[in-house]
Amino acid sequence: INLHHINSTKWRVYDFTEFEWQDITTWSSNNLIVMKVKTSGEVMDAAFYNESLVLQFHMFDHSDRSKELPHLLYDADSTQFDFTLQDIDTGNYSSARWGLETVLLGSDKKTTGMHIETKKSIDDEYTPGVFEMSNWLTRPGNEANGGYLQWKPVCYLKPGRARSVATKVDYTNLASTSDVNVDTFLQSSIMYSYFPDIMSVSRSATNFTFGLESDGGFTKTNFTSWTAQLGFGAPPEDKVSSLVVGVISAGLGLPVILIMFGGLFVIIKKKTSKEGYTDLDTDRSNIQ
Amino acid sequence: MTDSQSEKKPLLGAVNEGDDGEEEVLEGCGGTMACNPHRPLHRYLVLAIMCFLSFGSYFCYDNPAALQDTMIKALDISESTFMGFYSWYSWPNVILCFFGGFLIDRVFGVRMGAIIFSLFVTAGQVLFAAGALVNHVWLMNVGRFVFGIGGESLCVAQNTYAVKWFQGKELNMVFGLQLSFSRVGSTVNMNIMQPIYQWITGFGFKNDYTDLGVVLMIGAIMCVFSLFCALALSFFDKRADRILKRAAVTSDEQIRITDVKDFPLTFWLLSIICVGYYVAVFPFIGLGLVFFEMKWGFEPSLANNVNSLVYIISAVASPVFGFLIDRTGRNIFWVILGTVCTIGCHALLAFTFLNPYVGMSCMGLAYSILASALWPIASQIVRNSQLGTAYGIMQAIQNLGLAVIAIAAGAIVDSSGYLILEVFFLACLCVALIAAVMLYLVDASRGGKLNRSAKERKRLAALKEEEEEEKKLLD
Repeated sequence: INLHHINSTKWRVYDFTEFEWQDITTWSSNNLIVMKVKTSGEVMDAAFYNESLVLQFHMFDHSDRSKELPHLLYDADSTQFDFTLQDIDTGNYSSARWGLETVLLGSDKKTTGMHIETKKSIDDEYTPGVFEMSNWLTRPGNEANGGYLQWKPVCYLKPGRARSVATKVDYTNLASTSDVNVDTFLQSSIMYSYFPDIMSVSRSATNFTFGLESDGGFTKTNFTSWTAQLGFGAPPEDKVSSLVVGVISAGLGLPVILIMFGGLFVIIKKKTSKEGYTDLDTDRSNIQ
Repeated sequence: MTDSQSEKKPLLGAVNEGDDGEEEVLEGCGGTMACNPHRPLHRYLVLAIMCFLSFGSYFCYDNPAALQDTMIKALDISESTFMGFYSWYSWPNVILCFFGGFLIDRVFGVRMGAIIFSLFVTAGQVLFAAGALVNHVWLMNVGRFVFGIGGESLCVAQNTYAVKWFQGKELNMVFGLQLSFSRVGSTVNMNIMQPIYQWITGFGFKNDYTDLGVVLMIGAIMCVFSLFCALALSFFDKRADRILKRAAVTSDEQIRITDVKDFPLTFWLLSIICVGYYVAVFPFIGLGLVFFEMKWGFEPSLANNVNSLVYIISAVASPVFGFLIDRTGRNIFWVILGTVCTIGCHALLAFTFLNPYVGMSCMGLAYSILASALWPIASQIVRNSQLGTAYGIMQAIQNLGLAVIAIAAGAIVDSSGYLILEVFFLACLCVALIAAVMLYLVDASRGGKLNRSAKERKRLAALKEEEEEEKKLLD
């Protein structure tokens, strides 16, 4: 936010350091961790209360595709998380949008650069309406040994996820954490307990923003939910499924074959039944 | 023929006097080039009136779309109730335009039919506006239903008029021009209804829905204008019939509804082409906005531009292509060309990231070609006296296809994504293509009547005229 000085919009920044969370164990289980906010610090007369922000982490021990949109492919090395905002009183702001400032840390030295790679695909069968997938890589040249944050640029505006309530998720270019003044936060975050030398590991930051120009903003439905995936190793890739290949070859191949055979049939018929002379009388009989 | 009459007639009469009775002498204003049915200029002036015949109906059809947000807010209805305004128009027309066409052929005749259906259109729009004025959605639905009864059958009447006046002459261009006007009507509606609504709100009516009702009544004025066109057309048509002595339907050409099953195979193939093609274009445009926003990352306004390319291009290109097809003939080849082109466009949009402007522009051109070439073919297949029924059937099947496929397309895209949807549309187009190729083959085996070049048609028409002159002389 500090990097992109935008003056015409009003900002309210909620700081995770001032959040209080409800008891995690209430909804969590062996492969699911649910964090719901109890209250947050007040910013300009408004705060998060009572489950307005929910973070869910899913852990897996096998490879499969998620049953919920956006149907991301997961494996044992990945964890999917859902970030949900709901029922937030935005007060005076009648058309509000949300963004999430995110930092990704790697275990390399500070100088290793990170990279967000966005792949386009013509195939959207798993996530109708979404043709891109983005991977934030900690080791861009050496993916198989690095970490990643994978996501599809889509979030959903209703609890019942569907294409009709989908809107876009955008990200800003990666910035170094010192440029955006988050180094102080890093030292008081939970990551510090895992990376004691947090100031010398590779890290970069970006802002994820939720919403598109004319979708009415967060306030229209008062709900936004985004799913992404954190993991180790090469990020899973979507491949065109055999169903699609089958449908395409049947839907197009069959008619092409029919036309080819029909064409051959006509040519053969013309060759074998050469009449040549068309009677003048028969010509007349064609007149209506 | 009595003896005295046969003696009075010269044995070797000049060709001019072969007509029975005297030529009507046109005097004064009626004798000018513009009013003389023998002259092409009169035809073109009547064409102008013919195009405006369904202008009111096309203008008012898309009133809900132009005022969508306003309607939802002013009447406090849900999105699906709003969509109901369209459903009440389409679903009844799956069956009604068949009966409308039949009524035109059998009971009313095209003149009376056009006037009656124009009345339905006007009455329907007035009811729709009245429903908004008093904030009763059920009345609005009734209005749309009545509007629908008139609207689609009015198109059938317009097609029948076109064939009656332009068969053998500029029929393809006329169909293209009618398509143009339908697009123009819709576009004018999209652009002026909102500003008019804003202007009305300035008058300080108490409720939003009163403003809405007033705006819709203004739309009804367009329908009244079309009604006047129907009356004018009826006058000119009757006059031309009298002057040109066009043969009326004689009593031994009784039209029965069971005649429909005797329609030749070529007609049903034509209907399949019509359905297969239109369902791959209009439902696609309906869902295209999000497709362009998501796959190419277009801004919503840019996506809107690309989406309406097909309409804009076809408004301009249809009469041009119609004129071209008139010059060259060979309608079936043009139909095949249009279908193949559209298959290419959908493939481009589905399987590549090429700028969609290319795909959509080509689709607009292909649609113009097909629309101008397809509809006149029906006039070569069925008798003129059954033309209303034929067009009624084609439109009924088209409406059924559009209504069903629109729902199916929505379901497909929600469950399996746009790629599968495009493949589905490609499959529909392939069905249309196969039907078109079969149409060519069947027609070729029966003498190639439908695919004649313009030169051949003229030659045969001249031959036919000579034959008829000889017949009259011999009688």
